[in-house]
Parts: sequence; C-alpha cells; structure tokens
Amino acid sequence: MTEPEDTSPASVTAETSEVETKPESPQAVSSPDVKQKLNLKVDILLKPAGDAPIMKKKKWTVDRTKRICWVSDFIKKYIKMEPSESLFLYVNQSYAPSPDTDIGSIFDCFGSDGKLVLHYCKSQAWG
Amino acid sequence: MATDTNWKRDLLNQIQRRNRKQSYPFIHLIQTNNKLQEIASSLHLKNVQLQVEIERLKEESISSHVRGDGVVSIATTHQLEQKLFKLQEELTEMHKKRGENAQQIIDLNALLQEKEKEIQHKDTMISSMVETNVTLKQSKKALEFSIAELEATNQMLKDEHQALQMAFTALEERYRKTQEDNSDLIQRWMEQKAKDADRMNAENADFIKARQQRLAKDLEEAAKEQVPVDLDKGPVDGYIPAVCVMASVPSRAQCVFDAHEGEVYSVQWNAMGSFFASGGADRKIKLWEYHNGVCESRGTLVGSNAGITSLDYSQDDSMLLGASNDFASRIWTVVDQRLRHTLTGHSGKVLSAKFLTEGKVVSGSHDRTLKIWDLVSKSCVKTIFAGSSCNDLVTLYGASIISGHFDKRIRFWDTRGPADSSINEILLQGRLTSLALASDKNQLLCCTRDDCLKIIDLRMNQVSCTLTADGFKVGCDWSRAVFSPDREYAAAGSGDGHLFVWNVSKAKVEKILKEHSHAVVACSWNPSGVSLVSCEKGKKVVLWSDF
Amino acid sequence: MADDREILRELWDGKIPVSFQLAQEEIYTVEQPDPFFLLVPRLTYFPLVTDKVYRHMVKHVDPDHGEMWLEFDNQPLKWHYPIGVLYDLYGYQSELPWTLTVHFKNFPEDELLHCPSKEAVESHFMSVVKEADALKHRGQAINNMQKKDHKALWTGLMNDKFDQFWSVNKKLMENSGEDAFKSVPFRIYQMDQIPVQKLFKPVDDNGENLTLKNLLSIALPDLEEKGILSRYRVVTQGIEPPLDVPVGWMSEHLSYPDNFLHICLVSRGHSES
Repeated sequence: MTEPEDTSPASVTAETSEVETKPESPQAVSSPDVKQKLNLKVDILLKPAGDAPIMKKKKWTVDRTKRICWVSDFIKKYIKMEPSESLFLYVNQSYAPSPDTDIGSIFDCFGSDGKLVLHYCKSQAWG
Repeated sequence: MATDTNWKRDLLNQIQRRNRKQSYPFIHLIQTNNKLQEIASSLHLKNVQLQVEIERLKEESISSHVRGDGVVSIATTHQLEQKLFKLQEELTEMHKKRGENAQQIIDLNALLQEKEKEIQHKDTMISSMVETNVTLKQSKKALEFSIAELEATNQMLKDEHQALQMAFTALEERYRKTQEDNSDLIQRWMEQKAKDADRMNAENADFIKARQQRLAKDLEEAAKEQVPVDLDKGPVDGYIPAVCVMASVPSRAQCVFDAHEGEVYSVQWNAMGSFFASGGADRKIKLWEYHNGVCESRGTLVGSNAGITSLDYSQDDSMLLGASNDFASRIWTVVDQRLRHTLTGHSGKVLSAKFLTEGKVVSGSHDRTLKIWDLVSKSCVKTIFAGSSCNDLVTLYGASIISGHFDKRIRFWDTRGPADSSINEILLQGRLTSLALASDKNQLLCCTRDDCLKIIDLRMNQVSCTLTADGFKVGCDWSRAVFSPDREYAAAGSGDGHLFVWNVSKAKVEKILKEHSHAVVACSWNPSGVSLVSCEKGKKVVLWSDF
Repeated sequence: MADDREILRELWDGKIPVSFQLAQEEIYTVEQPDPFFLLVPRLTYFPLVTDKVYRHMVKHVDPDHGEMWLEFDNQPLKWHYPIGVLYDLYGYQSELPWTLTVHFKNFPEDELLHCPSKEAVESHFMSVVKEADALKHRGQAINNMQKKDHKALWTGLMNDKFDQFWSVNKKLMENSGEDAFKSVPFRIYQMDQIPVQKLFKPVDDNGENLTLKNLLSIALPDLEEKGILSRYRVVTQGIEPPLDVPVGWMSEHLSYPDNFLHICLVSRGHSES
C-alpha cells in the first residue's frame, strides 16, 4: 500500500485534461503510452458529509485498481479514526459501493470533469 | 420482428433447457436426500438416547447384583427396600405437608387477628358515625325550627309591611288633600292679604289726606309765623313713590360685587328707591341700579380729594351730598352727574353732611363743629361749636339738628335759636357712631361703640329700647345703623362681617345675614322695604333681597 | 410479450443443485459429516440459503471457529455475487451437483467480505440496485419509490415471491420515453480478473439498438483487438445468448434482481482441459 502521491497543481491539470477524453470515446485512445498512463491513475475528490471531519487535502490521485475498502482505510487513517469505527463512502451522493469495487470502474461510470467525487461520513447518510 | 422472435425463442429454449438440465432432475433427489438426512439424524439421536438408557440399565442391574449377593431372596429384599423407600418418601412428604399446614395455620391466625382488629376499628368508626349522625339530626331539627321561626317572623313582617303600606297610602291621600286645602287656604289668604293691602293703602291715603288737610289748616294758621315749612312740604304732593306697607327682612344676598377700589364707607338709597349711591376710600361716588338680579353702574361722581364718609340725597332725589375726608362737602346734580358745590371751611374731616332744606346743608366734622351752608350764597351761614367731634347727624323738620358725638352725647340743636348752646343733650354709654330717624320722626336710632343700638323716643327724650346681640360688634367710629322704612326693624353691620337685623318691637335679633368677609360699615334700607344694601371695609357692596 | 414474461418466470425458477462438503482438514469429530444437498435459486445469495448448511456442519468443527465461507476448486466464493453468477463463472462446465467446500477457518480476508448478518446482504443488495438506477435513470426511479417498495423488492427476492418482486421491479425496468435507460448497468466477469464495468448507452447516436456484440467490443477492447473474443463463451443466467441480442432488451429481461447484467466470459479452452 502506498500513499497517493501529492500531485502538484500543474501535473493535476495535465492529467485531468487527458483523462477527460477517456469515458467519452475509449476506442479513440490508441497510443499505448497514454493508455497505460490513463489506465493506471485517476483523480478522486474526498468530501465529508454529516459529522465527518474535513480532510485538509481533498484531491488525491489513486491507482485505478485500488478498491473502495482501500480508500476507506486510507480516510480512516487520515482523519485518525479507530479501525473499529465504521466509515461510509458514497458515490454520486446516492449509493454505497461494494468495498471490493475497483476505483477505475466507478470512475468510468460516475466520474465527471476528470475526477470522481466520493463522500464519506461516520453515519449512514444516503439509503 | 421475425429475428426478434427467433432469438427470443432461442433464449427461452436455452433457459428451459438449462432448468431441465440443472434443476428438475435434482428436485426430487435433493428433497429425498434432505428428508432422509433428517430421518437419519433423528434416528441417530434416538439411537444415542437408547444407548444411554441401555448403559444406565446395565449399571443398575450390576449394582443390584452386588447388593443381593448374601440374601436369600433378592426379590423380596428388593421389594421391601422399594416399599421402605416409598414409605420413607411418603413420610418426608407428610412432614413437609405438616410443616406447610402449620405455616398455613400461623398465617391464617395472623390474618384472623388482623381482620378482628379491622372489625374493631370499623366498630369504633360506626359508633362515632352514629354519634355524628345523632348530633347532625339534632342540629338539623334546630335549624328547621329556626327556619320555621324565621318564616313566621317574615310573614309577620310582611303583614306589618302591608298594613303600613296601606296606612301610608291613606296618609298620602290625606296629605294630598291637606295640601290641596292648604293651597286653597293660601290662595284665599293671599286674596285676603291683597284686600288688606288695598284697604291699608286706602286708609293710608285717607290718613295722608287728613294729615295734609290738617297740615294745610295748620299752615294757614301758622302762615303768619313765616316758617319755611311749606318749602319742606311742597314736593310731597307729587312725590313719595316708595310706600312701604311692611318691610320684609331679606335673607339672601342677591348681588355681591366689587363697588370700589378700597374701603366702602357709605351707601345710600335715593328716596324713590330706584338707585343707590356708594362712596368709598377711592374718592369716588358711584351710582347703581338694581335690575334683574344685577347691580349695574349708572355713573361715577368725581371731584372729591379724599374718601367719601357720608351720603345724602335731597328730598326730590335731584342732588346728592357727599361728605369727605378732605375737610369739604360737595353737592352733585344726579341727572348730569356734575359737581355743583364744594363747601369748604371745616378744619377736620367731615364725617357727616345732610340736607337741612332744599337750599341748606348741615355738616358735622372731626373739628368739633357743625356748619350750616347756604347753597344759594355757597357759604357757611352758621358754625355751631359742639364741643366734641361729631360722628353723625340728622335733621328734623328743616330746622332741628340732632348730632351724635365722640363724647357719648347726643345733642339737639335748633337753627332758629342761639347758636352756641344745644337745646337738649342725652348721654349714652358709648361713643356715638351713627344716628337714624324713623320715618315717623318720633324715634331715633343710635349706634354706639359699646356694641349696642339705642332707640330714643324723641317725644319722651329718653331711651325706649336697647338692641344688642351676641357677636354684634361695632366695627368703627362711623358704623351706620338704619331703621326699616316701617320702623319694624333696625339693621346694623358688625365688625365680624355680619349684618344684624333686629325686630324693634320685640327688641330681638330677627336675622343675621352673612356674606361679607370684612367689617360691615354701613347699610341702607330701600324705601320700599324689600331690599337692603350694605358695604364693607373690603371692596364689596352687597344687595340683600328676597325678590 | 408473453415470451418476455415467460422468460422472466423461467429465469426466476432457475436453480442449481449444490452439494456442501465440510473441508476435510477442519473436521473436528470422529464421525465424518454427510454432505448436505440443496437446490439453490440462481438469483439469490448464499447467506440467504445456507442456514441449514451451517447448522449441519457446525456440529463437526472446532467450537472455536470463525465465520463460515465457501470455496470451489480452491476459489473462495464471494457471497455478494448472485449464486448464478458464481456458478457461471467458476462452475459452468463442472458436473452437477455443484460440489462446494465449507470452511470455518482461515477466512481469506483479502478476497472475501465478511457477512455479519442478512441485513448486510440487504444493504449490499439495495446499494447495487441504487447504483443500477443511477446508471439507468440517474437514480430517479429508485428515489421516487417509498421505503415500503424497497422492502417489498428485498422480501420478494428473499422469500422467492416472483409477483411481489416484479410489481416493484417493473418501475425500475421502465425503459421508454423519458425513462429510457441512459446507460446499461453491467459487469463482465473473467476468472482471476477484476470485473469490468463501464458506461454503455443501449442506443447509438442514430437511434439504432446496440447489441451484445457492441457491448463486448466496448467493454473489452483488448480482447476485441486481439481477436480472441471467440475463445470465450459469453454466459449469463446459465445461457449463452446470441451476440445480436439488443443490450437494452437484455438489461430489461436478463438482469439479475440487483438490476445488473452479470456477464461471465468462460474460456473454451478451460473446458477442454
């Protein structure tokens, strides 16, 4: 497990501009270099909901293959929650993804503007 | 559409095939298996139980074998043992039961005691209740009795009330009747009174006529004597409008008003009774007419240099004579309110001045002299040395003068006689403040500073009556007292602001009129007898009248 | 339409015979436990049907045991996949009854999620339904439902009540006019790989229905490019639908109760070996 790399603003914009094209027309991407890079990382934006504490750094770049449970553990550690406490993650402010879902799939389906917004809270917020 | 149905059918077939292959063959198999498994497990359970049972039985049989070794009959022993065991069990059961019963008895006893206590408590409660009941009944009876009593009383009171009501109506009826009678009588009495008045007037007229005739005769007889009496009597013929049959004592202050700016020293009705004049410390003489409850000013006579001390109308009301503190006396004509004469010569305040005849005036002064003035020559024709300060004087028949003095003496003068000596003197107990003649000229009212009024019968030359009253105080040296026109009453103001009216014949106070807030100085009775004016040391003049 | 309804009904009735056997090394008692046979509906989840299996097996294991989990052919089975998906993916070519091994020890934490209760299954199920509706209707259909409809959906599945389930599910499957599917919720599974899930519109820009073939080419460009798609059987609901079936129709009729199309790619070579 590795900490997500602290992306500098410049690199973020570069990445997101490239990412934007991806969900639109995946076939159009033909260059193997670009594809590889795109396949590897996505940007996620972590927002608190309800009584959850705010994270100082909200925007993270994460491997596509990372799972939701990994993000959840990461947030718990970041906001210093006990491992026994429960943390809920929501996509689209509507449903809680299965913990073994990979970030890439969710990003493909629910990402917008080159990033995936995930809400986290300590009690069940939606549904 | 055809392809649609084709692949749909294909799919359906696949699914059905799937189900046929995967589930249908196994339904019964698995159901049966499950059932058999259940049966097997239950059988297994039962088997285990039985095994346990067998083990137990085996153990039992072994133990019984061990015990029954030495005894002949194991069975009997076993039986007996069993019996013994049973009996023992029964015995313990019995013991247990007995204990339970004993416990029950104890509980029941306790319960019984409790109940008894309760009953006792209830009994006491019942007896106390009965007692309360009895007392309540008694009180109820008493209350009922008192109610009956009250009802009876009430009935009685009602009856009484009814009787009284009846009596009241009867009385009211009678009262009404009496009132009617009364009004009838009053009417009759009034008529009678009117008749009386008429008769009296007629008699008066007759009497006056007779007197005039007699006087005329006397005059004819006395014509040779050259007495100017006819001058005096002359205007009488067309005159005397104010005839007083009977004076009434007014009881109400009809009109109270500020007449002057300072003390009001003098007030005087004219002979007609239509105007009155007032004179005060403000050096003015004011003329007033009483009209509809108000005193309206009819003019102011000016010319005096000091306060006016005395006022006198000429017999025909055409001239007004005022004495003044500036040592002079003045005469105004009333019609044009002009100063006609100023009579100077005294060396002290003039306290009183009166017409002697139409052409002559006499004045009395603080300088202890009386002076007689001729209005034609406008000069002093005679000076009488009275020997004491003269506070007031009156004239009689155009020739005689009566003066009241500081030395408590009344002096009588005849202008025709020698000047220096009085004809007569009467000594009273107090300093004289005023003199007033009754209308019949037979009585003289004197006011003295020993707080009493004296009436002197001039025919007898002596005091015929003394009028005093509690609270009556002569306020100053020039307090004036007057007779009512019918001589029935005398009025004088008191230093305490009250106006006292005496009934002369009874020599008793008739009425005390209270309105002034300062010492009352002078008063004047209207010639008609119905009203009275008075003035005070304040600014006020009060007109008293009942009409 | 009668066909459609029949298809739904037949799918609903799909069951798989399963033989549960306790892992040999975990047997604690002298006695060998019998295998336990069950005919389980394809559309349901293992935790909803394995109570009896648990009771049967737990007598024979160490009392100090952990959570029960299932394994087939050394492959731990995820309880949150519908049973049919698990069978199609791992056991498609195996003999029936499907023989699974029951474990009470050595829970594979990395591969499986814990299942504390049936409520966990319910909340997982409802989440997937919501995700599906978010893809189909931007979540409007599910949000317009009342709590009791959600409950009816779940109890219909749990108690095997076809009519009750579909009385609610038909609202989620509304695919006409404004409520037409924005995209089709699908997942494509391959053994030893993470499932593929992407946005896929059932209709192209010209209004033509896109087919299963189009879906595969978009979802699995690698296979398409390499031209090795034909090496796989495309299996869903235990059948192999023709590749020209419109994906919109498939979504409406061949989806699992969680409203997802679960498609398994099963290697043909695997079957041969």
